[in-house]
Amino acid sequence: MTIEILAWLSLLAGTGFFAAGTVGLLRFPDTLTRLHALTKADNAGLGLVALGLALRSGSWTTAAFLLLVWLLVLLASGTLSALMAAAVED
Amino acid sequence: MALVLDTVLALLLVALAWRLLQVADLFQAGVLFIVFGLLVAVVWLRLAAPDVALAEAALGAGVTGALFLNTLAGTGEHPREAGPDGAGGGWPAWLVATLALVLTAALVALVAAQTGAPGLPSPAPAAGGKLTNPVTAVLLDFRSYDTLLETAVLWIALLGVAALGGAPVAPPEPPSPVLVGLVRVAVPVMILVAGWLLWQGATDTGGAFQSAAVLAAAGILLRLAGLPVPPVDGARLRPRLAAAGTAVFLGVGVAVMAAGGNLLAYPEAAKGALVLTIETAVAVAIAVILVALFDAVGPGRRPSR
Repeated sequence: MTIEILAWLSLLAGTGFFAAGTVGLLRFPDTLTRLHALTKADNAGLGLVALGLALRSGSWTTAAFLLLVWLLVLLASGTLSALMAAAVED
Repeated sequence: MALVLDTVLALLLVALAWRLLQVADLFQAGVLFIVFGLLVAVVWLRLAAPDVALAEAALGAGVTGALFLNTLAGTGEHPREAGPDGAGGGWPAWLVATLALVLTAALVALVAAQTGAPGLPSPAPAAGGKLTNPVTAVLLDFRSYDTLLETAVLWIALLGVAALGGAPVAPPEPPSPVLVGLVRVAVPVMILVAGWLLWQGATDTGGAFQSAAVLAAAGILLRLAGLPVPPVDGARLRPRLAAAGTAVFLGVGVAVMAAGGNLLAYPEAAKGALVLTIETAVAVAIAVILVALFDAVGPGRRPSR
């Protein structure tokens, strides 16, 4: 039961990050600030959603896969942000 | 709740498709195509077809999107019209045309002479071997004839692109060290995932096409980072690997005829091993073909040799 509540809190917080990130993407004035908003959704948002899903799955294997997915997305989105920021700088 | 999600997905798909066709900027169209492919993948997931979803996300959205954007980047460097060089030489046109016509007629006659469909002797796809994944059973066993021709189509597509002229080799731009760092971590993981998809394709979601898409994506990442892609860089190795998928597929298909069966009618005892052999060759071949296509259409980041 506690795990279920924790999972839902994590999922809700994660979607909160995604919503905030999307609002930032739409409202912020230039590319760099938009990237700043997006990274919050990708990193914290996805991490919290993955954590919530891992808690709900009740399986260590699934949890490990979710962790792997999160780490790979972290790597990819971080790289992408750096590349886009570099492209804007030029 | 599910109905709301599906309705939103369906409406979004139509809206995206409309926008994709309307947008004038080709770069935007390419990006929209990738988004469209990812949404289609989600739709396939909702339809409980994870194999198709995986193929759509990796091939439809990922690799095809990369091909589109790379083509766009390369259009500036490709001549609008093929120059006079390269054409001509070799055989006279009438001879080539006659040969093509005769071959086409022979193919049509051959297909028309086929009374029964070859390779379709077993009515139950999941019956034999170790193939418990119905999608793989259909692709590599029940309807293997179709898949054989699909691999041939991809190979012929590459031949067509190669016939149009080689890739222009531009001096490699210095790649971002961040990208190189990502590639060094990601490519080994991707090769591992590709092998895993290939292996578990027999029993679970996965298979040659998904595996090939992941391998091709790894190859394209290596290209973007200015690193060599050994199987594609070798001028002698590339065409052989590209043809290997169709060749091994056909070879196994004909070999089982020697054992007394029909074309592509694998004996039950060896089915698992034969299908895995074919899938491995097909996966490598498709990956090589896709990376070679990426090389051919783009501005050319092949590292200097």
